[in-house]
Amino acid sequence: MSSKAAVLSPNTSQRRNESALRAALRRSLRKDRLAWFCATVLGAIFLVALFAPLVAPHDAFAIRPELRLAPPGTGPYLLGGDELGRDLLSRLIIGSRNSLIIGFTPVILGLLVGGVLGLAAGYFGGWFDDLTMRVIEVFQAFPSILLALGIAAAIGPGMANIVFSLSVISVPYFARMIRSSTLATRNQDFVQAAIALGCTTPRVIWRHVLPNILSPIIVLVTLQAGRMMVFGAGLSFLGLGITPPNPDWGAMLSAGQRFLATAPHLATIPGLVIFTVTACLNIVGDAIRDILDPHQQ
Amino acid sequence: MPTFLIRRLIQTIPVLLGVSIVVFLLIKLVPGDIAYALLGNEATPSEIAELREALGLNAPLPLQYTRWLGGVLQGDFGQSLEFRRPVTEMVVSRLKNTLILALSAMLLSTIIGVLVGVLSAIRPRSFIDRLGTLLSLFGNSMPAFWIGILLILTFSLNLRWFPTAGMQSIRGDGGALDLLWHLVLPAITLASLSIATVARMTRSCMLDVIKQDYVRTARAKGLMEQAVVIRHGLRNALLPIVTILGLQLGYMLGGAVLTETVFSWPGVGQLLYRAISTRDLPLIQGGIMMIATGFVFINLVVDILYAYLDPRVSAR
Repeated sequence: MSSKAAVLSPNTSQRRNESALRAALRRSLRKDRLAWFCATVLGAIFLVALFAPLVAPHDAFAIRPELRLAPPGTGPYLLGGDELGRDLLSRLIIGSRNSLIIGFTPVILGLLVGGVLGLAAGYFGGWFDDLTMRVIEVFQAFPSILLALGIAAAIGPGMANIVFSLSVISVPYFARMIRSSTLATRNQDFVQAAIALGCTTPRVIWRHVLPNILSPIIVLVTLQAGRMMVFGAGLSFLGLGITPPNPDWGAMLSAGQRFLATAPHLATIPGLVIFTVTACLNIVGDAIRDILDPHQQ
Repeated sequence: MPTFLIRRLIQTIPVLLGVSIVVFLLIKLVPGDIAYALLGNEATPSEIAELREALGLNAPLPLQYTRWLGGVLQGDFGQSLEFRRPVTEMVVSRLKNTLILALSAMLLSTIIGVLVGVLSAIRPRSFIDRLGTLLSLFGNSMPAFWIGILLILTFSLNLRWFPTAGMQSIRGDGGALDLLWHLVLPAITLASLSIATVARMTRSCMLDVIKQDYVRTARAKGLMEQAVVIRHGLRNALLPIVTILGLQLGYMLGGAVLTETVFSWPGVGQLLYRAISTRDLPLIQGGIMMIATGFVFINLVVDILYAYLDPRVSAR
């Protein structure tokens, strides 16, 4: 039975498409040097975050009053000292863990929960679809940063709370997008054929629907990760993030704003780091979209 | 058209009810006993009991909600815990300042965004198109509050062209020029993300339209390029752009929290920031509920406008 389904489903043509796709991917990635470069930068930043305590040149928590607000390049500190005389570079490196967790966990959680909801709503339709859509509509009636802000403010500051609030706004985003992709795929002939052949529902979803909606999902994930980096930094900036003395980029920026006149590097450098990560995510996301969906160009 | 209008209005009601439920439930997210959490460790049991009574926490949840909603429908969001003043009054008194900021940012992003989008679309892969792409990337990737800080650093602290914060000079006469002078940097900051979005959207809509047969016909007729671009191109690309612009205004009301905090702009956003740091929940609820309601109505207006501009929509 499964072999028959395989004949009818576009798996064979899909396989041909896949190799064509892979070739196109290789070709355009080679052409798109910028996207390659950004992917490499992202990889490097992830590695630094992974091995943060080994990479950091100094103790990120050691207070040295004589290096308070020291400009970049003075003494032992490459990027200068912060308002307590701690090494800015080491704090950026240690803080990268928190900032990346704040940026990426909501995307993963939102994708898992929103993906299941969207798949189920799009595939089964009926009252479940109606209910899900109504709830999503309500959540989309808020400017999303505002809702995240309200939730984080109610639970109180802390990293887990920021992650939770950003996940809450990610769920409807993914659910809506994945529902519409599922709906479009579900009505195609090969899915109908698989159902007619008696494939079990999980098999239809897993083998026939999911592979065909995967490419838009990859794009959504990269772009949403960029948004969450900015949102997370924004919530930290407002004082809803991690509790001091633990560093994260948004909170460092916020603390640095008070010393803008005397030590501008305290606010500009953490912002530059957030910008770099977000810009790389956006460039890579756009490049993937251009490859997967040439109409968009 | 009238049936579309009525249907669309009716659809708004369950959404607003849902919004009110979400905002109401925010208070339930506070871990532990909320009265205890708000008053701190030194509160006496009688103080806690008093606050619980004042917040109506002793009633069952659905009753609490209906009471709260009853108040909200009459414009009563309760009292601010910190300022001991009615929330509605506090938010409304600052709404004007936020609207000044948001509408100026909106104007900026419409003009710059549409202009850059159109110019990029008529000359794809030209210098201007590349510049537009770069601008979109920056607007999309730079946190707005960081842009604000960079602007303050460059134009206020170094060049001393614009003030660093506030809405009026202390010794100023409070005139329009003084306001405008204070408005420039925050408006650019708030507009940054939306300039990027509008430019991108305009570019892709224009590219779609320019490919159409009637544009080719217009060119073949020998019309001037400007007439082709504006009368035949932009006019038809405008529909989706209107939607995006409406949404942008809503996002600006939300994004205003960060911009107003950076520039100490005395609007609703700054009030919310203050409320967050003191965990003034009635104020947070009131502020969010009012902004979200505004957002819902902006979307409603956009939909109606869209149906008006494109009769096919209401026919569906």
